[in-house]
Amino acid sequence: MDPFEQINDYLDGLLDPEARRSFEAELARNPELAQNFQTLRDARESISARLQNADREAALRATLRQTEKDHFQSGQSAPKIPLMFWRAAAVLLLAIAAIFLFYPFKPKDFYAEYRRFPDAAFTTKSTDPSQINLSAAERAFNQKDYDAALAVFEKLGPEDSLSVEIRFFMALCRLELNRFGEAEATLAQIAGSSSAWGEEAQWYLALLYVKNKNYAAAKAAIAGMRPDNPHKTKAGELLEKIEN
Amino acid sequence: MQSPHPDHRFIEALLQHDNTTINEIYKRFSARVLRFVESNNGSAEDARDVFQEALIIISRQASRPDFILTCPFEAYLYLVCRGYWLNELKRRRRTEVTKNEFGGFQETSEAEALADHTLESAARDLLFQSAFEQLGSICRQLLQLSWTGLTMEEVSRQLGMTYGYARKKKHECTKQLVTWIHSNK
Repeated sequence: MDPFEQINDYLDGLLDPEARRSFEAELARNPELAQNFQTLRDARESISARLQNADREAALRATLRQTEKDHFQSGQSAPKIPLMFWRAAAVLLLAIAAIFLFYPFKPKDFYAEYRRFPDAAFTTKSTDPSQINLSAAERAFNQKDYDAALAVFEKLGPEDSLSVEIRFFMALCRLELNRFGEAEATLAQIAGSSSAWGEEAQWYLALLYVKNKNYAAAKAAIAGMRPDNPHKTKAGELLEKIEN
Repeated sequence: MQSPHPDHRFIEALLQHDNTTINEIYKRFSARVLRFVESNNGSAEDARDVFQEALIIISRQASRPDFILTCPFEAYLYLVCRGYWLNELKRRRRTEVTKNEFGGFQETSEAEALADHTLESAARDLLFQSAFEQLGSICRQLLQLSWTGLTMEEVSRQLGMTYGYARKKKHECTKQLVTWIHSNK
């Protein structure tokens, strides 16, 4: 079992008494597990407290900013930025320019280079009886048999009745099978929604255009990515390669 | 259990947004911090930021359930300001603090211990927060919802994911978080 699955279940209070005792015994024996557990426990406590107190803290900052206006008056000027800093910055810029000048030739199959599909994980341990068993689709997708995966998906029912997650994975299957029109329509719709899959869909939409060699549309799709999109860094690299 | 110091009222003022007492904090204690920062490679603007950040750090520490102020607030505040400015100078690669305006406090050892503990907690909180911000937005949303006490069924419904995917994603996200923290300690 994934150690983080055990740690999360323990912290969430999901383990029965016997499993708890067994996990605690393992913590005492396994220093790496103990370190990961302590770090996650402490991080969770800290981050949760910060999120919970965010409004109160923002209000306190506003109060402090208002109060400080009558204080901290001084005749002294701000310290100057040392010349050494500017010299260091100039050297760094020259080094970066040299790297770009001698940047090696890259292969043109950018789609193959950047295409890294997420793993499908539809199989549920939930007790909710309305969940559909999608293990065949999950297996086929993860084994890269996109024809077989798509065949299962298409039997589930009208596409607009399916979950965003399923429609996202259907679009990825169609992208691999070069059914660009259908894939594009689905990815664009998900990217434009407020779904948690929106940012993934925006990235794969960009890759669809790259695969189709429609670089202008790819650039536009990359420009439309939010700054906190997890693929933003890769998208930036891809954009540079397209433009060169 | 130790009784709180009478200066605990300043802590209460930060937690309760008591404007009158917050004004008193600035009136009584800010000038000395200004002199300290300006004497140690800083500007009036730096001093203002240091003072504000120190009060925010203290309010975060004070919101923990086991916090009690057992020393004069003045000494505690100044030592937190000093420590914060020292770290800022190191970050800017400036010379260390050489001019000390913070002598002459009573009960300094207790204030020092509390200030050190406060600054360590603040550094840890900053590390955890930075790690959280490195995560993608799905991870951040998922962990935020999960850590507010919702079941994974509820979390997966809110995020439009299957239960199985949400669970798997949560384990990946927490692993990423911990890995980042360990490699940036």
